[in-house]
Amino acid sequence: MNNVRKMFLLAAKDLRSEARAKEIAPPMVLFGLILVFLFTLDFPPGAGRAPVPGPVVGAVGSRELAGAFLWVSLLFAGILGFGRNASTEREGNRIEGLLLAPVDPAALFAGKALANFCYLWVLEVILFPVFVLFFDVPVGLLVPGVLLVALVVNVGLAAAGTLFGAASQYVRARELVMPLLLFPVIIPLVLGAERLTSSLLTGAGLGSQGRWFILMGAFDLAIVAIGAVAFEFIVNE
Amino acid sequence: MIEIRRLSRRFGSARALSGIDLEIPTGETVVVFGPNGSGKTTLIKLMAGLLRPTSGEVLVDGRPPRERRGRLGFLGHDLYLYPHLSVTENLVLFARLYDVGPSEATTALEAVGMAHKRDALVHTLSRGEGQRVALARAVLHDPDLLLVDEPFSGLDEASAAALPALLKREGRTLVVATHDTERGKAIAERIVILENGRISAA
Repeated sequence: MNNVRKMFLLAAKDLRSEARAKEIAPPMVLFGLILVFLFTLDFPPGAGRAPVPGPVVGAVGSRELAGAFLWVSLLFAGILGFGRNASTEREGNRIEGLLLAPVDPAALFAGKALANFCYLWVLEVILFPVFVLFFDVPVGLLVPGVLLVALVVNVGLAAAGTLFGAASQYVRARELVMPLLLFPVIIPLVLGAERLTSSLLTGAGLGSQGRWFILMGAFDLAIVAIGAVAFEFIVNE
Repeated sequence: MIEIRRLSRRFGSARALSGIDLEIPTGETVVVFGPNGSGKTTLIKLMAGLLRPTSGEVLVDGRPPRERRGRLGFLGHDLYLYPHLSVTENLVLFARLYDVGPSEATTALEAVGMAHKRDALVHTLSRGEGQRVALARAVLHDPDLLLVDEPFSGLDEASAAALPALLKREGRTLVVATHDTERGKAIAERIVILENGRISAA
């Protein structure tokens, strides 16, 4: 069996376990919902449908701010899942069982990243409608553009989350270390996602935002390549 | 053949193994005895390639252990099983990772007498049952080199008595680390005694 098939096999293993254990997706979704709700409390009533630029919060138009709220909520909720997914291999030293098998460590990384990619979609499928509802933004402005943004974000976020999730498993205070490692690295993704979503919400669309897609796409390629190479050194001892 | 030359391993300032030299011909069964903390588990993990030596080297048929992964089996303290997958799902997963068919998983499961638990989730098994499934995981790809750490712990009398037949096969190199001298001697062709990270008798 080649390594691509082994990657799918490993991702399926994680997803099947999660379907029974329900230890990753439900806490992610619940935390995401709580964050969206909390951010809603700071959002001016009716601002979601007000004419652009709408009410101003500080120096920023409220619709622009809504995009930031969405992706910050997703990021924080996603971190819960990345840490938990990584810990399933640390507990009982299960990673050793995988390392003993004739599997390329890049396939181990890709399998874990693919599972994280799926968890992010589950989170977004629930969070996007709730965001539309709570922030009262016109759904026609957001969809389908936000799905394209989510696709680009999820690739890079899942890869970075898998890499730093694994790295943080082997140090003390892993819950603190992971966000400290992850957040600075994913700044291009979060910034790009926020700008693109703001562009959607203000009616400008994605047509003029090609440079952000290029930046985020380049980040995705880089972090996937780094993860595939570095994973072996992280999980070995 | 396993060749171990001047092998040392430290964990921080603690020296776990020091200057180990050992050769194990293909097909031999070697039992490593030693009290707790003598370095048995460290030695077995170094032979499996799960740890890197601080100095010295381990060669399996002339290559580092990690380059022999497909032909190496390992059974340690940890079971390496996923608690929310069934026994069969765990074994088929490892069968596919080792490039063998699901039928080998079934055969291994029957060999360890756990076929009746094939659909049970692993977290519902007792320690002894889990140990037997882990043994099936370790041998389902019919490894030429089998490394086993404390295989008798957690097993009842009947399972422990049946274990040697499951571990040994013609042409397989078997290394067993244990402090169970009675059972260890019964399967050993050669005995190595570790004390404070050094071989005191071989």
